[in-house]
Amino acid sequence: MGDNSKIDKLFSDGLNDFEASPQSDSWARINATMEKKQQKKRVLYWRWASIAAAVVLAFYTGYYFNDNTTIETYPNIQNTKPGNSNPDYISHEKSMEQSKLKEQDSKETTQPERGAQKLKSSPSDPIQNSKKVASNSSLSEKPALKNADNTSSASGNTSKQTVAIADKTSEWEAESIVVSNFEENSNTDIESEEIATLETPDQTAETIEEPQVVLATPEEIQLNPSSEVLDYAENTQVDNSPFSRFSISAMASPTFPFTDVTVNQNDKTTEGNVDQQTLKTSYTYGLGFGYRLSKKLELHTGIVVNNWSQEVNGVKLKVTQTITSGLNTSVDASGNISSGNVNFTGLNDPTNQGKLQTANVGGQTYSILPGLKENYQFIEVPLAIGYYMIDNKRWFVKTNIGLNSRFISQSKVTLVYADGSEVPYKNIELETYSMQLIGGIGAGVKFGQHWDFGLSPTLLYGITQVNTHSEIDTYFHQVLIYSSLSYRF
Amino acid sequence: MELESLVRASQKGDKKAHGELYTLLHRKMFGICLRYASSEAEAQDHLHDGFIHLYKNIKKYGFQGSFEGWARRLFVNLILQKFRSKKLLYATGFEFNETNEISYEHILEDINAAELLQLITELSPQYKLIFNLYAIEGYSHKEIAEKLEISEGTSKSNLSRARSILQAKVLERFPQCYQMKSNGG
Repeated sequence: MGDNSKIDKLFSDGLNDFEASPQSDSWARINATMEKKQQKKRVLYWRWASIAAAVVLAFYTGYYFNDNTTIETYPNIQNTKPGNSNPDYISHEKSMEQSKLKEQDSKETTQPERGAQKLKSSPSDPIQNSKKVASNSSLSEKPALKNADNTSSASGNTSKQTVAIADKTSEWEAESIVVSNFEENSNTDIESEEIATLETPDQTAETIEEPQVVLATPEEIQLNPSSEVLDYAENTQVDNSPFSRFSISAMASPTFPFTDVTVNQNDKTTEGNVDQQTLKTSYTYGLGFGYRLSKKLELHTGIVVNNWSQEVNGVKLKVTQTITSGLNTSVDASGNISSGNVNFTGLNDPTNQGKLQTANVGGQTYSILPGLKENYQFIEVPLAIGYYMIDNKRWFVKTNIGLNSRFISQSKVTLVYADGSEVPYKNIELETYSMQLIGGIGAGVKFGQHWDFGLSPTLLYGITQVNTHSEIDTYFHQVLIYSSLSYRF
Repeated sequence: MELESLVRASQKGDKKAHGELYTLLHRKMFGICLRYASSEAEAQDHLHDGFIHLYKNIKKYGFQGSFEGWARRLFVNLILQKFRSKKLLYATGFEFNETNEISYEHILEDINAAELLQLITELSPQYKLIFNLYAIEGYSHKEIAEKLEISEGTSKSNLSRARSILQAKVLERFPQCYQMKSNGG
């Protein structure tokens, strides 16, 4: 056997089944990490569930608003079921009727049924009755069924129905508009036998059984179809002006981060663990896509590259005091043995060559890392709902709120030592995914039919843990001021 | 609980089974970690990360071969991955050609595992890694080259250098094992 094989065998036999006991708290640490990962997993499920819910809600909201922004085609009276009527209107009419009945009661001594009273009064002065319709129309804005209701109330169970019917098609349509309006605003049912059945003139003529039926002329009804249409549009404030559904935007923003560097986060004695923190302004840019769900609402998404950087001085790194043998101890600049390792990311500081000064803070020994430079680049996908508070031909004001999904794509961390040497640190473990809330308000101006330019200050709030397995954790959120050039189509 | 049922329970995320697996394996795994680490603290980290990695990937174990062997490979591969990310491996131009005959037969009687471990730990990371993989884990140079993304020549030269350093250290601490050929072995 050659020497090579012999020495291999020596170590193989001696160490192949070598066992040793780790620190007693090893399992506790592993268990704690597992718990943390489980929690993160659960949070992740909720995040995706939230995204799904937000998307569903956005589309549902858009559908709902979209469905209500179009002016409905005025329905043909034949398609209108007057089974619904406005309770206020009915109440008003009935009160009018009741007051009238009281007057009649004082004059007539024997009137067993209210309907009979009405029957007497209605045919007696149809024109006046029709004028009442017009008069009440201006008061209640829902005059259409006045005649019908009035009559039906009067008819009671006797089937004596009085219907005001226009004898021309155009006037009939005018009435149908009002009926449509009435039906639109109604939300209670009235029993069918109490309401006159409104049908086309011919049909109505066929259904009228009694000669008491009074056919009021259009002039008597005194309805102005055109004005009713106008009122309807104005009262409901429906803006039916056209708008572009899709938009694509180029976006850019300076990035103002607000960060918190936490060193040895499990150690409560380490507050103020960095001497100085200098935030560097970076830039964010990307493409945005919009889909106009309705006149007021727009769904936004896109893909954005977000840069962020900072420099930190005087980082206190906790020294691990676990080495009792002579393994790999290192000597700091003062000649002190600092227990071998600065546990920077759970691995050895690769540049631990005795360059770190030690310090005692609150009874705990720390190595002082003179400088730390961090630069991160993220790929992000925001999903937001925008609400147009103002949107006219020239300009718009809009609020946005949503969620931002962040994927860390690149990091550059550099350790700076007292002698000025800078060493890249590559073993940083990054949180691969995080989510933030985004919200803001912006305004913009429009150029021509398709283009607009907007400025939108946006707060991006949420934690991104950029170093998940280390003695140094960095959290941050950002303020952005997006400028965007959009093309709408 | 039998090992198989323990593994099956652990595959289903049973925390108690996780704990029992740890109890069963942690000393052996820590022994492996110590061989590859530069310090006890680093070995602790290897052990921590190794078990997290094991629990995460335990569903991939298909009950072919021993579980301990599978776990051992998992730990070693994780450690290799860490070394790769540090890019500490480089080629050396040194080729050890010791001509003296050395008798190791009785060394094991005089030297314990902790002392052998101490000798390995004193090696630089790249020598230690390749010596461990080749001499103790039984990997070939080709396999080492693939796993560490280096050339076979680099693997050989690093191994050779590691051996020479270890031999020197053994002879330094156990001079009674050193026998010159001229003395007749």
